[in-house]
Amino acid sequence: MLKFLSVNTPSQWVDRQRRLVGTLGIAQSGPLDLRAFLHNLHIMQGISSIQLETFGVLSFTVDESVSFCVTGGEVVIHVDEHEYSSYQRISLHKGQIVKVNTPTMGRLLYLGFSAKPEVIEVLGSVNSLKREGFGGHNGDGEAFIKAPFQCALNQPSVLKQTNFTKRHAIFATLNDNCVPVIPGYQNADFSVVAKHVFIEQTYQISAQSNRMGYRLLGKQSMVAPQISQSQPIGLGAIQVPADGQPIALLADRQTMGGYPVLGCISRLGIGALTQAKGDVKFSWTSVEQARCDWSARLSLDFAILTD
Amino acid sequence: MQIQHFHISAVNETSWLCRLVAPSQSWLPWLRSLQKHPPAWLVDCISGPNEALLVTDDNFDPWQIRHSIEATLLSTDSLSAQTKAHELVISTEHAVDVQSVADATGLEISNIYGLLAQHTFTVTANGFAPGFAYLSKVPNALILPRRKTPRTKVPAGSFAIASEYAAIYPAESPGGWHILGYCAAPMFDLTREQPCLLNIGDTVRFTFTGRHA
Repeated sequence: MLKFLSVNTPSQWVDRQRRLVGTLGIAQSGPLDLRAFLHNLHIMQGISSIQLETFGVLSFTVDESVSFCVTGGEVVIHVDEHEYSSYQRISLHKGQIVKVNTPTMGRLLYLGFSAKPEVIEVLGSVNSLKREGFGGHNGDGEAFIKAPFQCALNQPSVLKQTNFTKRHAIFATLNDNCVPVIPGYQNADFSVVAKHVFIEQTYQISAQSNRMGYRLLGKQSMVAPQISQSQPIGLGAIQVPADGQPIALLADRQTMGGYPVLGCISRLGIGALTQAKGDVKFSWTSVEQARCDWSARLSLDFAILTD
Repeated sequence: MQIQHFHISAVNETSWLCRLVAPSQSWLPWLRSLQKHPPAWLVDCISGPNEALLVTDDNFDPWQIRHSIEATLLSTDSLSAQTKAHELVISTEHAVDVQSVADATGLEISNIYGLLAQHTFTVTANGFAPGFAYLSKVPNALILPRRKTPRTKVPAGSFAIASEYAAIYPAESPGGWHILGYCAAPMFDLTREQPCLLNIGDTVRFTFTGRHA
């Protein structure tokens, strides 16, 4: 049994994604920072397919030995009086108390176990969609877990405790607040001036941002073209509504949108955006370059995170 | 329908926007077939009236996209094309926008409902929210842009029109369409084998009741 003693930031269970739900009008959902989620899955040898996506500041205990790992941001973790860090595979024994602090670098954390948390699946996934009222730990769409909260950990195992000494190379990439965007959709219909404004200025991430979309606030707004029909929306689409301030549409987005789209943020870019602590700046990339960058980065990461 | 009828562009690392170059009768059967017999490489499909977003597996070779889509065109199953014909009852008691629609179109209120009742709509897309079906095509005399200021809350069951579409809001949500009535039939129910009441290719006819009918 996994018992959360305190959960002080929005925290929810996620898995990779739903499959083939777009025709129902449902988003695939999944982790906001896929790279960090895959790191955890790699470190936990493929077992942690369900992870807690959190901003930190939580504590928990278990009543059976299990291993766990935190990925994403850089964060200090205490197991009783022993200090650890994210990107370490840690063994945990019955009754020990784990405290996860606020990340010192990056924002989002992924907590995974060498066990399967017993969380209700809806349409083949534990991802919650509060807007639609389904998924989540009770299956009713209530996304965020609140302490005291407990759930069964099925098939717990203990893996070799490992200190990945080159993990700082991964933390170094968390400083990158540059977000690559693949031009697409109505990109050609935006004026040169609008695209110049988009690329040249920095954007603040609005406090209203959530898993559905990150609202971005720039000093100058863009003039967006009009579109007459709703269109299918891909992950990371940068939609520009009438106020000229872009919205990055993320894992829990609505599947169709009626506003013009400049393009989609690359996978690495979505990670950079969701882990950014300060302002962000956009750059253009090609889809081929984005694929190469993703594969290269992930290969390097997995090499760093191998025993 | 052949692969030459598609304009295919990658929008991100694993998503492909497939636009029809010219309208085709085979479009909706193809989408239904994809839904019923998805190829292993397809992890999601979001379909619009003339375009679909296909999301491929992480391990999919992007160079194979045209070939892979072509294979789905060749294997389109005519049985998957079987659709349902729905008859839905719409109450006009809560038609909060009927007067503004009458003003904008210059039609009498009774004519608005008369035109809609004579028409057979086809579901050409699902999206925006679970169970939200885009019903094509509203008669030309009723084609209006969305409201200038969207409502923050549109009640569940609201029957509304905007642009060339009609729709029934499956749940309370924000929305900028013109509300012309209320439908009691649940549009989305996870306990049903097919959660959406209205699916791609289905046809819908409306019967209007209440004081404006």
